[in-house]
Amino acid sequence: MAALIQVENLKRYFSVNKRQGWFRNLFTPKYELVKAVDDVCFNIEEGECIGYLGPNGSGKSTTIKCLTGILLPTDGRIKSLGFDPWKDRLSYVREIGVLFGQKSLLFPDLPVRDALNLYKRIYGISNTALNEKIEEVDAYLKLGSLLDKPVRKLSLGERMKCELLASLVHSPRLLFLDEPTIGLDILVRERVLALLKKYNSENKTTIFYSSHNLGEVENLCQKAILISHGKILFNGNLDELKMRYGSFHHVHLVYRDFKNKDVLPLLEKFIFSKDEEHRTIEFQVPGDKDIEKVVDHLVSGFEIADLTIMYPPIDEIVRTVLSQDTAG
Amino acid sequence: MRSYISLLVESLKINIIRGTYFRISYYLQIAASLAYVLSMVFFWQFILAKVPQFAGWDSASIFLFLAFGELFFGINMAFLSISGKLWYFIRMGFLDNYLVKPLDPRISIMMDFFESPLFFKSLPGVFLFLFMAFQAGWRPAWDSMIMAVQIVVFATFLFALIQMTFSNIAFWIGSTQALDETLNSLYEFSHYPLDIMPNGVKQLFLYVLPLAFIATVPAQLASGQMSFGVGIKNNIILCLIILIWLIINEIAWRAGLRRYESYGG
Repeated sequence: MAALIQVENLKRYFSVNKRQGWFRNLFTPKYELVKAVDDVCFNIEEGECIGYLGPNGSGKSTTIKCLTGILLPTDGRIKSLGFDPWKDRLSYVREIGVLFGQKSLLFPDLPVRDALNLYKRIYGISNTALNEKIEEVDAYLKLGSLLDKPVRKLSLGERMKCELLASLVHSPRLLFLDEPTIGLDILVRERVLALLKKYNSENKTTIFYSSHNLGEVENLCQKAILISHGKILFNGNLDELKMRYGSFHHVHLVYRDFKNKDVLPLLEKFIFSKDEEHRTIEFQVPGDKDIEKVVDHLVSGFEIADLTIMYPPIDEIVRTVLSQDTAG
Repeated sequence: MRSYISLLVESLKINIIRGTYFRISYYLQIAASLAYVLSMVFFWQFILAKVPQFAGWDSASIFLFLAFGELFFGINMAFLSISGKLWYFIRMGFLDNYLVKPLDPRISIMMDFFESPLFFKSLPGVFLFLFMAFQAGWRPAWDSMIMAVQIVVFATFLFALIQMTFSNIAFWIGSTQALDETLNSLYEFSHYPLDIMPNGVKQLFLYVLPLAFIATVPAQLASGQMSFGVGIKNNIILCLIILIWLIINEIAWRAGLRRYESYGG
């Protein structure tokens, strides 16, 4: 079966005015080519939730704009839900939901409910379907009386809840979210993620989730695509990302007392932080062989109250991959 | 088409709701509009008292001319005022939000920026000028009057279409503010009966930048200066000009959209 989204050799270049002094720029402007997305290929299956990761200016938003039919690719081919997003834009966008964290789908002067009524007409959905959708989203996001307030009176978090509702109103098969939780507090963020998880697992909505917040991606997505300087550095399962690029383990030890202080010099080079008052030590241990040795030393040297061994946090791994890319 | 009509109805509904939030502002605008209309009445009364015939235009025709100008202004402000500002949406990347909706972004933007209460702002002026024309001896011929109103509606659409077409140049050069301002300056010509101009200029305002259809032609038709038959001929010319600009606009839009670069990545 063909993938839901197929992206082959996608390129999107921009011509940017080169800085060379205002006078020269007035008469002989020069331009340079910026390769925002450069030869990107990936496939996404139906029902997947993909985290699209990368630093600022890596090409994340440009990719999403190509995938949603906003931008015409310079070269390459996109097939999404069987459509060419740019050529078949009007039919295609009926099937997708889009939320840009920094752009609003609502009308500042109007209550959200009026905008929803307009969307109801645009997508040809019934009153019953709209009310059911509001109830469904309300169960997660606790919209309360927000829908009756003018958008400009809402806080950022409140507005984002309503933006999400507006992007889901027509029950899209495919949802593009570009940094949807930017500026949100932890409670709202958790609720948004819970709603998205529900959509992905129960409604089988495919989610393409671009974010800087790697914790969110880890929480929500099974797969990740890592992009930097317009090129894909990694495309696969999050576990695979950790295995491949996780260069060290985090070991968190809480001890009651020492059994054998002779092991301390052997552990010294792995210690990341130490809190003697709370009898806590954190270690960073590279490689699988070293971790076995460290655990042996901990067991023989301490009366252990609690011991946790973790893969490195995802943001640490992403930082490693990106720094390798920059160095390369 | 049905869905666009249903959307239009919903947009108007929403727009009137929005209008109620800013009703004081609209009352002030109606007052300002009435002040302008009264100043025009006094100005032309004064001129026509000194010069009863103004280049072939008697007082009844002048007031008809002012009524149609006001009608054009009302329709334009209420429904199409954003057409000259399309360049701003292109330059600032606001088009993104419209491109992810299953609608033509141009229509969608127009609907979002309807200011339908402004239409009612122009109506007192229209009726006052018609009343003044009636006082000056004008008696309406309904067939000519209906065609004159239809010409004003079409001319409003045409003017918006021209503004929108020039706005499309923003896809290439980033900002067309200067062009928008130039068009608005040229629109000032529609405040005067254009057949007082030399023949070359008259033809320019009829075929190239068809400002004559805003008020001059409708007033000539409604006052009887122009026969119904000539009115039909002018109407056909207007429809052809609209068709030509529709084609130019569509070509410019499609070509421009290929170059659209959005904003911020």
